[in-house]
Amino acid sequence: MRSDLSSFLLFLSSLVAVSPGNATLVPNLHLESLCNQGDLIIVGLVADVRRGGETTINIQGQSVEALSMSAELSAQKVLKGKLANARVTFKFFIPPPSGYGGIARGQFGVFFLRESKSGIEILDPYHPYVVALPGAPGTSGTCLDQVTAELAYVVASAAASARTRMDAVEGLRSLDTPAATAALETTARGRDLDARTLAIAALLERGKMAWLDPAARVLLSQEQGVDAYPVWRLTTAIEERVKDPKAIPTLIRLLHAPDTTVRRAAAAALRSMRDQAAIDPLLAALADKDDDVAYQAAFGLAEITGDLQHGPGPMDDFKKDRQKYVSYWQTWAESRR
Amino acid sequence: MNSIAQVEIEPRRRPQRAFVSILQRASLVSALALFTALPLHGGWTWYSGASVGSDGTVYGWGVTDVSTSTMVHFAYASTTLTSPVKKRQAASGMRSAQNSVRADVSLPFDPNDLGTYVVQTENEAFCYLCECWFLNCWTEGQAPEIPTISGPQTVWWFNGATPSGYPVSITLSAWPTNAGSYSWTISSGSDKANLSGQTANQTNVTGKALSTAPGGDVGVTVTAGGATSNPYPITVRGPKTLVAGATTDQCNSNYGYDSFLNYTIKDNLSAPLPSSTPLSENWTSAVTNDYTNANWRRGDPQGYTSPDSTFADDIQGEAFSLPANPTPSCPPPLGSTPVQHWGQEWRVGSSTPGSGARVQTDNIQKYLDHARHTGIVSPAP
Repeated sequence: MRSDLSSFLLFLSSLVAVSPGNATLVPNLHLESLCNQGDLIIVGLVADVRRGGETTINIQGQSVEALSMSAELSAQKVLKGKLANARVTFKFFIPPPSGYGGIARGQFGVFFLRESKSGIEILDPYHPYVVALPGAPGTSGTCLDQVTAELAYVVASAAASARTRMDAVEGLRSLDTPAATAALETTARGRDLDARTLAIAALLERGKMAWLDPAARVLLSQEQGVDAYPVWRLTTAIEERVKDPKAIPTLIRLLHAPDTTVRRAAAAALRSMRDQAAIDPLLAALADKDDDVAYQAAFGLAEITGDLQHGPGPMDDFKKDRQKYVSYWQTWAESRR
Repeated sequence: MNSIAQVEIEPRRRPQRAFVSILQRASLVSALALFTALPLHGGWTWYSGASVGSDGTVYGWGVTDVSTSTMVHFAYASTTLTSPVKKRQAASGMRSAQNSVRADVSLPFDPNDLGTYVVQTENEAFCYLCECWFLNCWTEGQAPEIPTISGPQTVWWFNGATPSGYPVSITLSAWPTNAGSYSWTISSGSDKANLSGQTANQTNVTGKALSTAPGGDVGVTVTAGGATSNPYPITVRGPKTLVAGATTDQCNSNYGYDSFLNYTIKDNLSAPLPSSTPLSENWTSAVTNDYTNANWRRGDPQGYTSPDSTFADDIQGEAFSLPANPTPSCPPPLGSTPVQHWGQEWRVGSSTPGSGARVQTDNIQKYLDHARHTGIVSPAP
């Protein structure tokens, strides 16, 4: 049985958990910690939920009144720990809105539980489970391997809803393992556009630049109607992770995207390269109708050439005097020809 | 202009001219000295000097002053300034004038040509009365060594917060290291940075406001050994704005809904913050109910550490089990029934609510089935 101290340490670690993406005020999903710290990790269905009494719990050092609840889980697989029978009852709490994950009858997933003095409890109230589907084949290996297999089954399943598949991809994103990467690559080749886009973003986040061209195809295909969230993740990944000058031809294509946020991401990536080869596309981006694109271009030109005196100041100032910067760099461009 | 260092070296006569001067004119010089009743060198001077300008330009000069009231002397000076590394030279050529002459030269600052600059002057003087060269020597001087500064050029500022991974204090070092005393100054941008903790040839720089121009709008100089360095540019970076990303609304089986409002934290150079970032929300007003008799509760403000520059504000409805009034519902489709709202601010640099640099203010507007930030002001004064 885990001590209260270890549970507390797990809670603290969840507050500062570092995993790719999934950055949120709600502590990030950290499956490796959940696998390591969980006493019972069960794939199953919530068969029943019962209301308990009022109690007090601690959230970030604050005592908070909460409703104590219990749920009965019908276990299909046990990934870690031992069960006396196929049904297990665990406790969870419902405080005032604090980002806690919801648990409802009929929910199927991989549940991460711990044993305490008062019984079995949810290990991480923000992430009590990750999505799963009944019927996934059993696998061997470590807890992480098995969780990865459950998530991979979800993203590949036609039975899963688009939302569930996205949740599964988010779970895979939090796992920096070869198996998770392989599952993401499979998803990135799949048909579900939202899951595919999110998977490509996750692959770019872990430095898989071969996925930049597929990313560009998604971003330049507006008619496909991809969800805003995966697009945001993808543009963020491009802005923050694409640093290799080999990506410049693709970024040039993205500078012509109809979506402003895509062009901004491409311009920001070009700027962050600090490479002479980015000068021409940045000069072209100066003419973009969007102020932010032009701002990144002017800033990038100043940084690459070392002529920081002609770099823009704060964005508000640039908007007021945009033409001054554009004219300067256009004149500079003509002088070097 | 910095102080002058000057050295006069032993006059070195040119052998051929000295020979002429001594043999042919010795008696006339002695007579002249007696006649004028003045010491031979009375008030006369010849020397070389050098200094360093505030922009790093090195100036050299040589002076020959053999003034007499009878105006029978003619002074000559030829100055050469030589750099220490590249051996660049600036030469004045021979200058001449009645009684007194000065020959000036200069070399522009070159960061790769630092060290001791040497100035040499050929000083000569001719007397028409005795028709003799009575001064013929070399003088030499040195410019004080221009100190240079090394160290980081970016310091981060989080309004007093000190998140790990971001240097909120940087140390600058001056060279040469054996100059004795060092005087550090913020030559520009003193409203954005402070100096502290000077020890030997080092000083610490901390920010107190964000830079407003790229390339270092804070300049730091050090004066050592009589010379002042070029301004060392420093940029004060820090969180400035939240850039709104995608918003997603999902069902929550216990609270009705979760609205995830995604953001990217950008700094004052409009770049995403480069590493994990603590941040927090805080409430700036009481709850105002838009829905009559609403009993939805407001949790305490929270803070966390984001692994990168992005985060989401997860706003939930209210627990069905309360029981909530009104009962939250699950999107989509999104309705437009407001339930309550209150003021919110975001700070970056600390996970403690109220600490760190403020980057945004807004109102949390909770609806029956979703939530949004309204009235967003970012950057926030």
